[in-house]
Amino acid sequence: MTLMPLTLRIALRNLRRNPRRSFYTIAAIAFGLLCLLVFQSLKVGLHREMVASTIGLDAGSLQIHARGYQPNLAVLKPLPDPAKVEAALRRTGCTAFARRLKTPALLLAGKESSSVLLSGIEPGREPRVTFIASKVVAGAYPAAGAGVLIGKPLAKALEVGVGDKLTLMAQSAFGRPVYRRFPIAGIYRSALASFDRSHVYLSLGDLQNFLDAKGVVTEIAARFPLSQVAAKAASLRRALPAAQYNVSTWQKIAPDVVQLISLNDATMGVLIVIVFAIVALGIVNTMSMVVFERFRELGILAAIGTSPGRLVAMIVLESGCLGLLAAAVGTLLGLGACWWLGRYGIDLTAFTSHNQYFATSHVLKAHLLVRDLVAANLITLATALVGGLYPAWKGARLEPARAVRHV
Amino acid sequence: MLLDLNQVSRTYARHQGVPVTALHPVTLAVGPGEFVCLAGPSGSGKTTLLNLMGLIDAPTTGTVTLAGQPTHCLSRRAAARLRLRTVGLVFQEHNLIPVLSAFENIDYVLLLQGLPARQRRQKVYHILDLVGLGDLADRRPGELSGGQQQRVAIARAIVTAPALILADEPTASLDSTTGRGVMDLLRRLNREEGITCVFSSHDPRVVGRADRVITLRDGRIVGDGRPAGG
Repeated sequence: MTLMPLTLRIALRNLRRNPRRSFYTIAAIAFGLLCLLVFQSLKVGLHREMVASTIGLDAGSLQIHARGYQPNLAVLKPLPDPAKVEAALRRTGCTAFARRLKTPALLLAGKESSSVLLSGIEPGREPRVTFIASKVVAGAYPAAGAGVLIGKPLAKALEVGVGDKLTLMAQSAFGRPVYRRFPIAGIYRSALASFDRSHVYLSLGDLQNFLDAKGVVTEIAARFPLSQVAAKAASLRRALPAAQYNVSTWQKIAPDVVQLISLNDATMGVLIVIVFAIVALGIVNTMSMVVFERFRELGILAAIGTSPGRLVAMIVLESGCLGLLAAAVGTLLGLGACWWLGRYGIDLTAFTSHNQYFATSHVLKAHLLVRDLVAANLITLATALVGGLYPAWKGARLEPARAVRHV
Repeated sequence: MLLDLNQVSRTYARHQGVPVTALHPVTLAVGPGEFVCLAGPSGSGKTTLLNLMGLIDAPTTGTVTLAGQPTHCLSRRAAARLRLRTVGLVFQEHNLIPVLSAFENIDYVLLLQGLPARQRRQKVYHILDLVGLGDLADRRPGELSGGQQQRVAIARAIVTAPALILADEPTASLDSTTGRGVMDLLRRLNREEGITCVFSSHDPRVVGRADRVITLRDGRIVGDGRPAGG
């Protein structure tokens, strides 16, 4: 048996001397850890939802355009040699990619009209990049010659349904205005009404014909696991000449999402500091009481030869034991809360129905990462240890002669 | 000499900075094997002098030399180490760590000395038998009488075989029979183990058992010799 186990025994037995105080202190620390786990897991869930919405709605993990391409311009900027781009994508191991042709257009139905972004898509490959195909609520995803897919809010505003005809007006590849009537092949509804009102789909071939732009595509969107995006983008940038191509990751396509995630992280950081500063003050208070109550004992321990460092270790160890017990309790409670929030989530429809970051679902679900669980426990333990340091230092600096007189 | 005090005084700053002198400069020496009593009424400076001898307080002036080592330059850590090696301390009451058993209270100082477990165990049981508490090793202080607690404190003080035991009114909180038992124990350790004992008391029955009595009054030594009638 070394000295540390006896010191540990003293620390643990001291915790039992005032069980009510120990209970409340442990409860306070555990509550701090519970808050940290819940906030952090909800934040991760929120970020995952935001990224999934951004990628799955339209952006994909990355997009490749011709150099100088700008979205929403009526003048088409064709992607040079799309087959070369696809070959480069295949070499990176990517199988989920799709060609697109995008142009702004005016949609007319009877007396009503609406400006939209028209996307020519490959019906066979696009669903592997975005989730719109899974959001079709009437009719079908637009196959070649089948017509257009419009959003439900737009269909409602124009008072049209599947099988009705619409007129699309746009600018051809040669700069001439063109218009044509298309039947409505299907109606989709994502969770984002503003998107549904402004995005219309038809097959790539149909749009190329409509715009007199045979074989033209303006972008290729691809999808990778999130963790691979940066590496794949770097690989593609090496493979495709920068003078001709521009490879944009979802972060570049949607910088607002990236900024919002950073802002959330910073806000969470501040929140964590505040919560744990309160926890630390609670520990300092408890351990100060402990030192005050045990003036005489500390004096005796010092008098019989315990070094100041050993006294500090003894008090910090007691504080650490509080932290450890609290970490165990907080982790159990936190895991339970995160499991429940991960399974059932919080319905935020009232707050997010017009929010572009909730295009897949309005239910915010917790997602607890192992690294967050470990970090939260380490923060809790560190707080307990640091919180015990000052009272321990005060305790170790007691004059033994003065302390043993204390009653 | 085991203990040398040269012009040692202690002044406390109290009451809005007004200094209070608890001990005026004293010079004295205690040799190995002595059985010394610091006698005097309450407030005469006995405890202050014992604290200075045991290095748990620092003198305002003068120097304390313990076991040949000057102590005025020692850090807290070094002073703690010297105490651990050389001195066994017994206080008036509440000497023990309440969360530790009698065995663990004694074992603790041996742990501080870094002794292996088997050796510690042997020593602790031997010392508990010596003080007549072999059967109560597992009891915590709260489960022991005042006299038993003092005997555990003495056992803890002597288990490291110190050269010097300093006991501050070791019988003050005990009834006369128990107090006599404690003094018998100290005397036996002094005679049989050769441990130097310096203890304080204002009880004439305790004072009378010393070989040498140093009498203090108002922080000054007013007498140093054999006990009256001794």
